[in-house]
Amino acid sequence: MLPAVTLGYYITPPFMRLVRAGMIDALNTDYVRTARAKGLPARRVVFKHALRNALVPVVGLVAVQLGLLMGGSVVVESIFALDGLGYLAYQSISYRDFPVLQAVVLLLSLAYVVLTLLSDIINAWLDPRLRAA
Amino acid sequence: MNKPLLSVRDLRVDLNTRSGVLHAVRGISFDVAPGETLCIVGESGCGKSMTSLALMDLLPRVARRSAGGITFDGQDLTRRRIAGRLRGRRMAMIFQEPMTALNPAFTIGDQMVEAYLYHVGGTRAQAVERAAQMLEKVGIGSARSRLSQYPHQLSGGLRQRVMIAMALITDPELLIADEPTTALDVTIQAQILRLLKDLQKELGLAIILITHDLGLVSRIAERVVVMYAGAIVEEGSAAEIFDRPAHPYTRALIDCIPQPGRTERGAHLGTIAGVVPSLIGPQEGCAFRDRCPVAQPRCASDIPTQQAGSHRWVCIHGGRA
Repeated sequence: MLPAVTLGYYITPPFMRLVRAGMIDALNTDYVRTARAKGLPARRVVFKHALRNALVPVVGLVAVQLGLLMGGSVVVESIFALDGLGYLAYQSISYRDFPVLQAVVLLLSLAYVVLTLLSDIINAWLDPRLRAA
Repeated sequence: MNKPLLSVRDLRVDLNTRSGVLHAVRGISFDVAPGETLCIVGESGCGKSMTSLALMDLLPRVARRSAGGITFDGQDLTRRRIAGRLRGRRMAMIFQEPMTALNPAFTIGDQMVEAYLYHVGGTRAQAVERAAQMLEKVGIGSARSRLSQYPHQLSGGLRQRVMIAMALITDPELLIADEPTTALDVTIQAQILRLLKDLQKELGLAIILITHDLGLVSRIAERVVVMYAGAIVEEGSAAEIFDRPAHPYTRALIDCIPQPGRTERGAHLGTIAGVVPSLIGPQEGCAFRDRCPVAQPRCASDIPTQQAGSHRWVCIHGGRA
């Protein structure tokens, strides 16, 4: 529980800021005004028309932050003595166990690449203008 | 005039700014009859866009609206509930910027169908059918395949047509068009204008056209309201306004239009000297008096509204000064 809170506490604020900034921008756009002019209910305007456009940068951040999360979990798992990938990395460093460390790092970077790719795919789905490139 | 479709009485829009309360619209009243075209003209900042947004209850948060009464077909538009039921269904609006007025994340089909399903109901297939019909009506060919396109795949003129089709999909009785052609090039402007005229005839639509372009007004308007500094200075039929403009401001505006044959070659284009007065705080007397060629000392006090039939103007001078 506490480890999760520790990691979450560290990782949430940037999302809050980014969603807030994105929504403030999106709610002032002409297309949101159009959606309101169409007489759609406020909830629909906010969650469909504005949120979808505000989410594009957030998705990009998710990928980066999840990568960070894995790095951060090295510290957290060590402190809370959790038997996870981070703890394994920490131990292999203290024992100078290079093959294991290399495997861990390779795995983490692979996860990073996959996450970034996923975020690009999700963004292309969110915003069709990103599809052409 | 028989029973008006839209009736506006003493509409005011105030904005809070750092240097005081800015009165963007200062108590204007007008009526729109069913099927008629009313043009609201005036220069930038005269309150014409604020007026249109106020009618649709789309004002920005810093703006406050108050009115002696706004009724649409006898229903009280100042009540949020009623306005919410009418907006997007019986009264629709199109905007100046077709490039940004459509949501980039959804296909135009999605965006058109959405309003129809919400207001009219029915199945999605029916709504798609209706959307395709509307696209054809506004002159967009191969409508079916267009529906699955995104706004960024369309040109400005096409997007404005889509906006019009989308606004009219619920078969409204009133269309408010806020500078619908300003962002388009001249040939497209003419097409959009003709389209609006044709649709009006076909659907019996009343149109409020907000514009600063008097040339455009002369081509489409039946009645004209001239605004200056948040107030109406003159109102009348298009013929009255263009043939017998009574207010010095209207005359100055009309003199600014170059006319082939009448304006001399090489002559400077007309301008109105001076600047619009600040809209912050109250306005005593005629707001135009500092720029008016026929201003007199008594223009600083109360100005009478004069009337000749449907032609009204707010000036101390009667008709031709």
